[in-house]
Amino acid sequence: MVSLESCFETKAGDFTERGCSLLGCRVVVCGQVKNVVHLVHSPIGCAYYSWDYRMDTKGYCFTTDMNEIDIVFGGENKLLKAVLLAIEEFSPDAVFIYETCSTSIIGDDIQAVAKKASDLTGIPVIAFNCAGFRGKSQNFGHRIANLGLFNIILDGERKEMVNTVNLIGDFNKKDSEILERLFGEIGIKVICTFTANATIDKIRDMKNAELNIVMCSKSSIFLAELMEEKYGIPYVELNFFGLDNCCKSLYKISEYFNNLNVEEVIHENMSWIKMKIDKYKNILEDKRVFICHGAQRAIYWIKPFEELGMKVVGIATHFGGEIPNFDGLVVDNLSSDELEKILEKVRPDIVVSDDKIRHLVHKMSIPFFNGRGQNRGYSGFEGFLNFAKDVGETLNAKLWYLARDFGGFNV
Amino acid sequence: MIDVFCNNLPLKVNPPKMCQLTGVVLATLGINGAIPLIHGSQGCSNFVKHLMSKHFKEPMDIATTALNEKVIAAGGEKRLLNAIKNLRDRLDPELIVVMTTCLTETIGDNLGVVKDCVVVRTPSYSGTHVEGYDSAIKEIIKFLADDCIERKNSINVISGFVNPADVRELKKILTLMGVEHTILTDLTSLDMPILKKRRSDTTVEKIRESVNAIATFSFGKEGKSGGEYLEKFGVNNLNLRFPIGIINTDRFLLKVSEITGAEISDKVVEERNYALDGMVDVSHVLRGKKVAIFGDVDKVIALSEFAFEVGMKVKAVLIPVKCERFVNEMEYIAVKNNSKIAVFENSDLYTLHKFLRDNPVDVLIGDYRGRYIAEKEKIPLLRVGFPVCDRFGYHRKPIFCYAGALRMAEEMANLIVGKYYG
Repeated sequence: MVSLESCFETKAGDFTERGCSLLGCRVVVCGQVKNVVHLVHSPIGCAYYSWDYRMDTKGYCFTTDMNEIDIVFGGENKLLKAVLLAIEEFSPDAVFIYETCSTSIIGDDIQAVAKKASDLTGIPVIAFNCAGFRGKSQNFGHRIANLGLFNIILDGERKEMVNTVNLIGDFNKKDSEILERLFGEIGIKVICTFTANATIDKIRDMKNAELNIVMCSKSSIFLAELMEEKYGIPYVELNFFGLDNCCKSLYKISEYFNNLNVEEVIHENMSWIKMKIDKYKNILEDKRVFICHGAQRAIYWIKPFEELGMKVVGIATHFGGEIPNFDGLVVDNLSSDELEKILEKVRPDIVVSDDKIRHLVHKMSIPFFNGRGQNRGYSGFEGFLNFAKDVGETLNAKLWYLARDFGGFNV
Repeated sequence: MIDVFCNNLPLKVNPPKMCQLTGVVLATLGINGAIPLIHGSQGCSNFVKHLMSKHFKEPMDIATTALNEKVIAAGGEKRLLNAIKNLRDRLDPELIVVMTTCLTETIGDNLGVVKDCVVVRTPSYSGTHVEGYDSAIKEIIKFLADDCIERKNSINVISGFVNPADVRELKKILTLMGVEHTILTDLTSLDMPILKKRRSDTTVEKIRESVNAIATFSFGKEGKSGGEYLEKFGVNNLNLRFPIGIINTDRFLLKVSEITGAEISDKVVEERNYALDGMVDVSHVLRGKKVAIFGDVDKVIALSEFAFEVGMKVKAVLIPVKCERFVNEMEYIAVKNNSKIAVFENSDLYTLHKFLRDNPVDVLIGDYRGRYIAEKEKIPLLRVGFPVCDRFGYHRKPIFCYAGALRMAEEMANLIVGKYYG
């Protein structure tokens, strides 16, 4: 086991893949909550860049567009007017206000503005103090987002509903669709997938669940802890990537509930999936994988690759953390030039990462696979089949062979 | 005959402008072996990098000083010097361009300590990507330029905040005319073949020699200050319209020919005739069609002229900033073409959306942020400029020169035919 310090600071002069707290808060966690005005209290930059940062989201960009004069005289008035205007024009379920470096440094009290606007309109207005310089990476932004959104959960009384769970820390719509279907099969209702399919009402109802399932502990375990403390709702960290993980997780859930037909569902799914997966095995057998993800997915991906007969030869994380049960190469917070050198040396058969380093890997003509699953989910049984299929097709694409033969015309 | 709408609301919804950093980073990446270094929190570099790599589909190296709370209290100068040292030790770049951010401008970091790098002051709360690009070009030239030694019959061209395809068109046509040229800065480095690292024809040495040229061509606001700075060294400063559309390209090439004495070669005329052949073929589709255009000031002006050139009617134009010159230019264009144009300044795409709901048009021209209007109002969107993240290859599609005019006319015609005739 290779252990890392929980999270190194980024070195000055790095080409880092890490983002800031605003990214963690506005884009990763809060950004997908629907019918909410996401108002970034900032000069144009922060608002523009965080607008549709994820390729699979489509939303509007709301900003106070602070100019020099606003920075000198303070932007609280402007912010309040903006919030009221947004509520009038778009009648949202809530308004989220995000602070940024400049508006934080000049001391705008966004919490006070939020309270005032909320009192005036009766609509929840939540302010997030997620200025970019806070914390070592976007991870700090996740924490701020969790804390802010917990305020919505606190609204109203708890009415416990039987056989219900929340999925916390799943930010992929396609994954959440698969999992909600799978849970339906075993007889469990998902109240809210936080935040892939979250709305303000769903988040408010989260307190009614019997169990919280934490998918990405790095970003969201804090919320589960808060809910356990306040309402006594237990939480369990699970993941549904790969057949083994999926089965184990389902058994684990059945410990918390009575009369779930877990056995049946597992048996049914396993009977068809094994056969279909075997089709891809001869393509994938013994292929070498390099994983580059924020810590959580890096850990979760090891097992599914092994199930496909592949070998993980290296892992690069963005935010540190421990990778248990793994004795290969582990590196944290690489500069892109360092990553390039490592990839040149390791020369894996395929790299799994998200879009940030896609083009670097493409340029090197190494097959690349987006582990976030933007087109289809990779969770659960059917997700694993998607996964095997996508990895196999990526690896097998003729283009890689053409590209590597470059310059020679050696047909 | 224009109606001017200025949006002074405290809330902007979908404003089509970026902060200065993007402009500086773009200008920097066009120089061989240059590295942009953003002095601020690490989010700034990550955001810019992500946006640019989504558009150019290329790996981007943007360094950051990664400031956090602890560092801020003590001021960021030490960390900046540290970052520069680290970069030099690790990569030995030919040039480092340091940018400030809102954070470091607000806490008042003293950048006088940086001696051996270009420093561009780029707080997000003033200016946009256009100003960032403009001042980057100027600061880079200022940092590198020495006195003129020997005047050469060559020209500098400041391409503006455009795509690799546009720079490629400029280079192609100037080469066809046999004009020696330096592109400041050569953005074709943002479109490299597979297995090749970023490389640019514009080296630090070439920029140093730019003072020896006979003239600098720049387009609109983008590159104006660079041209003005070089004027001090006796380099003619020619600030023209963007070479978008046939007439504007003609004007540009005639000026180049006049200054350098190079003839407009048969090859260039052939290129022009190819374009006109294609444009004539689609003219019956485009004629009389209504169009709305949004984007950067000078590109919108040139695109409006292009639209009238192919027989379309410009109904609305929108820029994200306040600009008196723009309003005057649009007034002139409207009168000249005997039309009525709604001019939105300091505005956002949501305002345009509301206007277009009541005043529908046949085509919308702008970057991909126009997709919300396009989808809801079912108006085809001609994607031009930066950024276009939701489609592939748009950094390889020019808007400049004859090839750009042809491409835009044909693509617009296809959009219209696709919509009305299936």
